[in-house]
Amino acid sequence: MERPNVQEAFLSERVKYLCSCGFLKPIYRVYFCRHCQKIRCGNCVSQEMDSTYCSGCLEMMSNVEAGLKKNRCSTCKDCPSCGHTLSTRATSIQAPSMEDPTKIVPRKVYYVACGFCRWTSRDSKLPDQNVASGTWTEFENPDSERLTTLSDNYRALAVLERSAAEQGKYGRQDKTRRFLEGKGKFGAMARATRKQAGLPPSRSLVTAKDLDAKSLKEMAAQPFDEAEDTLPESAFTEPLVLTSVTTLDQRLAFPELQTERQDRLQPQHKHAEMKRSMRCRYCDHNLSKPEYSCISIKFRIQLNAYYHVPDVKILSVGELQVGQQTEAVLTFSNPTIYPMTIRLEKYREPDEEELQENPDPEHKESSLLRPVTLQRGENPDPEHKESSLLGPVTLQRVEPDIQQTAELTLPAAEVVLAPRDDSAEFDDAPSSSEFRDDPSVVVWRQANKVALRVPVTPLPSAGGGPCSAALLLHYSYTNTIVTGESKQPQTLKLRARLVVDLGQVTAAEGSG
Amino acid sequence: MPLYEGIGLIGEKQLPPVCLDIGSAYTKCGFCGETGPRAIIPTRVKLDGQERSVFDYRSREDLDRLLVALLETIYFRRLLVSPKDRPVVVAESLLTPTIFRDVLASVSCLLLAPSHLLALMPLGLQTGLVLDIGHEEAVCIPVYEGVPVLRAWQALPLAARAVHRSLRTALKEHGSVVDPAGRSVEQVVDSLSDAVVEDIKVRGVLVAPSAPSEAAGSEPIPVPLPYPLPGGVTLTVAGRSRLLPAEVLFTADADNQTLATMLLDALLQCPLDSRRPLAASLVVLGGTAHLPGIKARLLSEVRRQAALPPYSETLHLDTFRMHRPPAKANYLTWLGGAMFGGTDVVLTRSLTREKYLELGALPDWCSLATPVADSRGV
Repeated sequence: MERPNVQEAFLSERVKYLCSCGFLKPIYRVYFCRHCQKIRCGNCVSQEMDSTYCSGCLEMMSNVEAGLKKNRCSTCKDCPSCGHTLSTRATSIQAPSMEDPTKIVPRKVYYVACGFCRWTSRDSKLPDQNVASGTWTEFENPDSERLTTLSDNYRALAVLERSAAEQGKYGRQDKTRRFLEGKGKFGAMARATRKQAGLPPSRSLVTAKDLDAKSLKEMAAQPFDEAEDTLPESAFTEPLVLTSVTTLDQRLAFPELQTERQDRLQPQHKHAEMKRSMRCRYCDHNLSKPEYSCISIKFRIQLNAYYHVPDVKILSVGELQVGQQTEAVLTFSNPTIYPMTIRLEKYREPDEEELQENPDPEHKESSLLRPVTLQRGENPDPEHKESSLLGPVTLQRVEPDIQQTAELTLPAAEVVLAPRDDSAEFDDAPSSSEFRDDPSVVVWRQANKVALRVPVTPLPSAGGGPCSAALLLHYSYTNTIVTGESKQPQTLKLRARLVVDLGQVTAAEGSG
Repeated sequence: MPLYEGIGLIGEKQLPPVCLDIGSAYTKCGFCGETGPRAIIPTRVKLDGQERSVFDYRSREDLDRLLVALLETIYFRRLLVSPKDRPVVVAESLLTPTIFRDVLASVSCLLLAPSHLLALMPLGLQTGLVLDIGHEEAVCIPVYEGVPVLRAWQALPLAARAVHRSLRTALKEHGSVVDPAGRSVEQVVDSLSDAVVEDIKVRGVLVAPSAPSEAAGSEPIPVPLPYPLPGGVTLTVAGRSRLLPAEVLFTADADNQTLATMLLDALLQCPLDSRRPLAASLVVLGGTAHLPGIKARLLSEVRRQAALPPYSETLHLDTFRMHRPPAKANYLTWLGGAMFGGTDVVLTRSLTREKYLELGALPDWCSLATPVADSRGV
């Protein structure tokens, strides 16, 4: 028998769990909300950012700091050629001495080099530095000054437009109001004060009066008779060295530079990364929360489904032929430290009773997660407005895409899974004696794992294609969160819906 | 931690809005008020184990999932901000399908602005004939005194995709290959992925300064380019096939249309008195405008076509001038959006989530259901 590789063993997508929103995902992609007792996937969680850090030097950044640094680490740099982190190299060169220019003395200089693709800052003719870090000249957009001036002008125009709109709203009669407005930040008084003090009009005080048609005309770009990219003669006569031209990825990595020549590449500071926490969108409880410290890879809260829901794997499947019964062996393992009873049933859509029993709470958007509301000039009653307009927003459940192309003959009996015991892994003795298993159903049992025999009959609809079957898994789950009255962990009866991909149907031989 | 973020910023202005320009091949994202986008990423996402373009959507739900995945990448990998904190400015073509617009509105609170109008903002212009050569198509919309002249719009599928297709053909016809496995040029070219073809285009393709004449040998032909492929295969891109791919943009199709005639046709659709200022203010943008020599060629083609019938009889223009924008052509629209979003108009003009939920649909210029507000941007 072929041994499965790691990818197949741990990241197999052959068994998929149906999330409460209707998507099918493998177990390592879903969460289990202990508060709603339901499976949630990446689609039904809301994400929050926890902390920003640099993956090169593992330095934390506060959000304000990250904003100021444009999400880039101030020390680490990325290779402009391959994206790997650059390292600083020290070397000594022979240079004229500071005191006596006629003397040649060795001097220590620094440059940066990529350990992966061998790019160095010397390739781009960037001068070596006398200090190890911090003195590199940063790239500056050559047009930034012009663009900033233009932006300021537009900003002033927008302020004007806004104040005109507001004036129109209150009518011309409201003289007191207009007088008061005149005293505000953009008002005539503020302007006069600045003028008296001999200061130029501040950026926020630039109003339409400074922005007459003439100055706007001056700001307008002048067209040229010739386009900027007229090709030189050499483009046609000289052979092109492929490695001297940058690739698109290299260009797009630095949008403002986008150089076409390899020897003009410039390193950029390393982009920061972010730790995220996930929250159930229905009950607002955290499903996954990492430690704040970026050095730690641990989680404070981690409600991944593989810690709570029985993990189903395919052990073996016989040869699949349409209409012929064969045998599949599925393993079920209990990830919790409490015993678990499982029972398999034919797949069916959740019925009324089930929906009643465990309804989805209304999709809430907590105060932290509310989408941005714009502060308009005058908002009569924001709270009232929101409640009337927003209303309850419920997440839409999509119709699950379940294709059943095989018939499973499921065992009716309940099977008990032993609790997970980390020390059991070192214990070779079989522990099946304490359970009275039906040998026609249970193939073997080991620690918290049990292998069940499930006869499979591929249906004619499978044709020559993939053969998959859906099933409903009842399991008892011991909830450890302590709620109001009951201090004891309570055992609940829960269901999970699975789709098992059994593999390809082999074509029937001959008349078969 | 959005809670703490607020404390440091009490009394400060609102957080800068996010500006997005979702192109059919690449998405530009960044913050308003900055001079360049933070990142330019492919408009592709991995969903259910397969990577596909956001524009290859099959249904509304599908598009919704794709867009959510794209926006998650943008917010959590590139911009590192919480999406709930800020308004969004989206620069989008006036010809965006309504479904795309609608779905985008349902996933974020936003201000939509026409991309051609925004492209003029970094130039400080009010009037310009804007040609956006992207990945799927080239769209030309004249903007006169801050108003897009919608009836004069022109669109043709003459963009990066056409260049790629033409490059494949040119490689098959003129290329040669050294393959240890002994495959023919056709087989090798057919096995190339779109990414490799794009790379050959980006690094090797030039735009000839003038149309190839009948008498061969008169115009300069670039030196052939050997292009190494995995497996010891070397594909030699002939000099001619470095020029030919871009010719598809300037070769008249069945309807006699090229990039140059697009501009002239747009001018013909404009009112008489606006034609002269528009012609003297051409703005070319989009990723394909990065092809070396394309702008020079376009300008000379426009001049040549304008001197020939039928344009010489109907369009009495001789001055065509082109702008040199203060930004790279592929993010010019984004920059316009960032400048637009850097102003207070975000407060006065954007569509809030409450409003969207109340209306149930997005106000759109092509729909009469909602009264159109003043469409002037500047």
